Amino acid sequence: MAEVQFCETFLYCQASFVSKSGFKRLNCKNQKLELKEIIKYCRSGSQLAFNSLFDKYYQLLYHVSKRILINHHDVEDVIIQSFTKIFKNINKVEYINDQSFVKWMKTIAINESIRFINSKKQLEFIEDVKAIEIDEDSLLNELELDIDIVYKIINQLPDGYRIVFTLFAIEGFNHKDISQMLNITESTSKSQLRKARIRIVNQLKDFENGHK
Amino acid sequence: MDTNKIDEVFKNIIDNNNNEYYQSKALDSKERIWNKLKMANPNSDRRALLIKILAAASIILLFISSILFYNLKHEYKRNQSLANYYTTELKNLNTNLIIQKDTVYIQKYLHDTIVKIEKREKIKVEYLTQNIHIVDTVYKTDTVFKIIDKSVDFNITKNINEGKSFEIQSFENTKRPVVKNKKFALRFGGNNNDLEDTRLAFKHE
Repeated sequence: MAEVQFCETFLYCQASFVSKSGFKRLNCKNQKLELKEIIKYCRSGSQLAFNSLFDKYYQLLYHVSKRILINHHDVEDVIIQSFTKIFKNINKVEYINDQSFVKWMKTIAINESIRFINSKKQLEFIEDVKAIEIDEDSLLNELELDIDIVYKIINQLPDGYRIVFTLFAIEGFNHKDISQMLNITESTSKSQLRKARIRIVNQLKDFENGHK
Repeated sequence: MDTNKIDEVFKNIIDNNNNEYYQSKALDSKERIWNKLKMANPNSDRRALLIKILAAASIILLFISSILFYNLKHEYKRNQSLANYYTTELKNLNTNLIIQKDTVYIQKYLHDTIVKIEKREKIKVEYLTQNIHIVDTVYKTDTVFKIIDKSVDFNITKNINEGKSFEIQSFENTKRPVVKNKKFALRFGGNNNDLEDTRLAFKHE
């Protein structure tokens, strides 16, 4: 308990604290508390540790949800649900390294986002895109893409395309994971990705034509 | 993994600019979301404290209940043994009563004897009337008792029962018959005739 209080002091005023294993002095003037330590104090029930975890990963999870849901208010609801679930299950998850823990949090946010979409309307995975042979490399080289264009193109994709493309290309999940998350087959995931890419290329082509 | 040029380009752009793109909207709702989370957070300090208090109270309650239960159990056992004892005694008594219908002796033992003389009245020279009240006695009934008093000396047989009063007349043995001593008297004189005759007499009685 004393350890937690010390840690809370640290979290507040960026001072040194005493760990349980002994007098472990952290020179943390410009150093953030490590994720492992934050998780440890979250498990002790420290409100400040929860705050620290939220503060550290709020934007990341916000963006993950935002790419799936688009609507800001929906994202707010999903973020609340996601962090509630994270705080509730933080004692159950095994910490291996920072990446695995962050992936676990992202998965929760994605699952909550998908559940949110499904609660409002059934996700549809359309198959209406005709394949057009375009030289992607030359197209991408010619265009000067920025974040606004990228998000504009992604947000214009149908839900199924957008989610599969986001999960695969941006979040780095494989088709097996995506199929489990969306409750679809791997082949559907692959075809949705392929068609999403085609749609993106078409839009890039339109953008290029409009730009010219 | 199926890699693609579009994926790489999009990922790079998003990774490099992600924090800035939705930052304003994200920051707007950050505090509001945190406040809602604090309310809903099951692991908050307040809840943890409440749970700890409840746990401590439960342990104390369990401890007190154990003590009470042990005492009640002990009491129950004692009552049970007493009940068994009295049941046995009652059975024995009933048996005796059935076997010896006309020969039930009830012996009553009274404690200590205090004889209190309430009133003393001299009715004659030789006797005293005394009211005696039995306060308590260790002797059985129909016992001869003796009141030790300097002024009285008697034996009497009475049914001595606690709380009983009775009257006795005792002989005062200090009184002895009065022996009259002979008087020695000298008389002088004679009758008138003698006086007239001047004959005086000296008589001895």
